[in-house]
Amino acid sequence: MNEQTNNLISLEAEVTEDAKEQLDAIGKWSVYSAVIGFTSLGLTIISTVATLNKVSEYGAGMRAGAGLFQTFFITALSLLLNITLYTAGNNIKKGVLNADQGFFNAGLRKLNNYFKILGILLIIVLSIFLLAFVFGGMMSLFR
Amino acid sequence: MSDYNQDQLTQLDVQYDSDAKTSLFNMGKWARFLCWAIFIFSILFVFIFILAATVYRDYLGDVIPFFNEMGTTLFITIGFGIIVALSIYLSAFYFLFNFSTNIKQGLLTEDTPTINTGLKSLKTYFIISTVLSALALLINFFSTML
Repeated sequence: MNEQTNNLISLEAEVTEDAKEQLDAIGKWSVYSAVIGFTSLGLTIISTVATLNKVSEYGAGMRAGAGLFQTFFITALSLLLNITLYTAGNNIKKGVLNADQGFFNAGLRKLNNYFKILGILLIIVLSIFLLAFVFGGMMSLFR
Repeated sequence: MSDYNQDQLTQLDVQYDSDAKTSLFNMGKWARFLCWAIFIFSILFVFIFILAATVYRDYLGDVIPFFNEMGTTLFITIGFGIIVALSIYLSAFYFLFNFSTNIKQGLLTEDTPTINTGLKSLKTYFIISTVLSALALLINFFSTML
């Protein structure tokens, strides 16, 4: 791995016109994707608040509280992901259009962070599934 | 324009410097991990669906006679729908996998066309995932309105 990283650092390559076109499109589409993510998040918050209002009318305050906590957690994660993607897309676009190496590198770093966050979230979800599977198996064995 | 000026312009342009390359390389690694996890997860999902459908068809067939006659057709239709939806969703991850393979290979061998192919795949991934997200948003919006 270290050898691979050293190989990367020792090389210097130009960003060709074709690559610039692709990077500009990547920036544009990641901004669109983030905007759709924000809209989706807004819709989720509105529908959750409406549902929680109805639920608390029927006197299920504790359940409503748990639902609110869950929504808050998902909203925070989704917001973090979409802000990262939005910043990445904007910086890549600015970097390519204005030939600004700082913005270009910042954009790529943010896009790397975006995939890293997705990967870590996936690891957490897979671990929860695995734990549920193991505990489910153990429970059925001891029953 | 003289060669000197042309060189100055080239130097002003963005480059794959060590920072950019490290980001792209790590992005490729995480993208590959995501793809493998999604592929394995999808296969497991289909497998669990087939198992659950078989168990529920027999169980529901005892309780509701409708499932004895139409249960298999119903589950096959739902299963077909799931496979079509998964295939569309997985096509995005196929392009992400292509990006990961090409970007790593391109950066290690200093092959510009391979890097460009990788970037093209990443662009296609973002296009497909954005269109799918927009569709999901529309469906969510109309279901909330109803």
